[in-house]
Amino acid sequence: MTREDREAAYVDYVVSRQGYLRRIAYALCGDWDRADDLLQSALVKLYVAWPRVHRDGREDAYARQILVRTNIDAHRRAWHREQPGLEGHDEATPDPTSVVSERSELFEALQRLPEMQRKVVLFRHWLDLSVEQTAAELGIGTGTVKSHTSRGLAALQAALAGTV
Amino acid sequence: MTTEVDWQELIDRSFGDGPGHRPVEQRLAAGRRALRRRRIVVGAAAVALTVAAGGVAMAAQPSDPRSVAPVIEQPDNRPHPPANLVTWGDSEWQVASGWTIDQRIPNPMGYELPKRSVALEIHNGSVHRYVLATVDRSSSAVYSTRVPEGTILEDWLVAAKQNFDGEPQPDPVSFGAGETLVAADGVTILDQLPHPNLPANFASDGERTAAALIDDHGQETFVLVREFDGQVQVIPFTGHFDSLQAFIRFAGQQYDSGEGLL
Repeated sequence: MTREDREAAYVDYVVSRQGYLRRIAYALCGDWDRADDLLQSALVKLYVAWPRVHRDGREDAYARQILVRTNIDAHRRAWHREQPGLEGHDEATPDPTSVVSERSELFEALQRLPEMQRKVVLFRHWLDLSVEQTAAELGIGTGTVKSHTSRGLAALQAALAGTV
Repeated sequence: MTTEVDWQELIDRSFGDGPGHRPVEQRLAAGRRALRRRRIVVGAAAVALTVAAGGVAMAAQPSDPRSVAPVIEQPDNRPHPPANLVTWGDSEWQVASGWTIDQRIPNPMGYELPKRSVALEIHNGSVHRYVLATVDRSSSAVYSTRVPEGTILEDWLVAAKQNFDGEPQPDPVSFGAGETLVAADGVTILDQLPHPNLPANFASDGERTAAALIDDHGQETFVLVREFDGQVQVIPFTGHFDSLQAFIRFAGQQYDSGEGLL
């Protein structure tokens, strides 16, 4: 693969999928600026890994995995710098700079889910991945996927019921 | 409300598309820079393993001090290849003094001029190394490892080319029982320490962590491993430390500073 071939294919992919990928990043982290940073990191890594990933047709799966993993590391850096509250104990403070007008109560409820529950719900019920695909991409067992799905959806249903 | 909920549609409609995207050219330029850095680091890191007993660090050319792995002095009796192990000069590939070419595969990267590449098996006394070298008008990179037992240059080249292309490899280690690491195929764990003493921004209490020195297909690499929310992350770091503890001390300073190793 020449550099020109590589870049043409990469650009095609970015143009067609960056919207999809950034929405995933946003759903994971709840902030557009951070989502854009996550996407940029993911696309840089995707470019570096492009020959094999493109050959195997795994662009979306690879990019999703990077988004998930990069989000974990950004999360850890945030701990170091900002000392936020404990997950599951302290609710996240809404980011005043985010585009709140585009967000619904459901999205806010989604953001309040524990991180892995949120990822599982998004992968299973928004991106329509199977239990097995979700388990593989998130690096957890299928049983864990099912239990997180059950708890996550219950929490979202409760949130929806409270808004109707 | 029961199973009738169409979660896909509800979630999809629960937020918008956000602001406009960065120009694609910006995405592309960042990717190119990352690939260039990676190639330089791969070359420099391979050479960083070769620091002489005097402790003078030398990087593959072109040198980028920001990308070269830190090197700590270490008395070592192994014969080290010099920084300019393989260079392009006088219209041919040249090996450093004392090294002899045993085998050569011309242009394994399939480059068109003026870019060039070569794969070599070379030796200096009893020390044998494989080398993949590339050169362009303004840059060059050298990736080199000791010759793993029972391998041939052609097979090694497959993995080396993937490194040059930045293609992802499977994690070299994973957690076995508790915080004990187990090696993937082709990897040997030379030393490991469960639950190293590292700052809380590396891992929290109760998460499985480990540090190790591994031989990954002939290249010695330090790794930190952590588990978070059921996901295991292996963080490799190629540098020259005199012990696993020295690497852990360095990693601790990196995480204390907020920089980390990624």
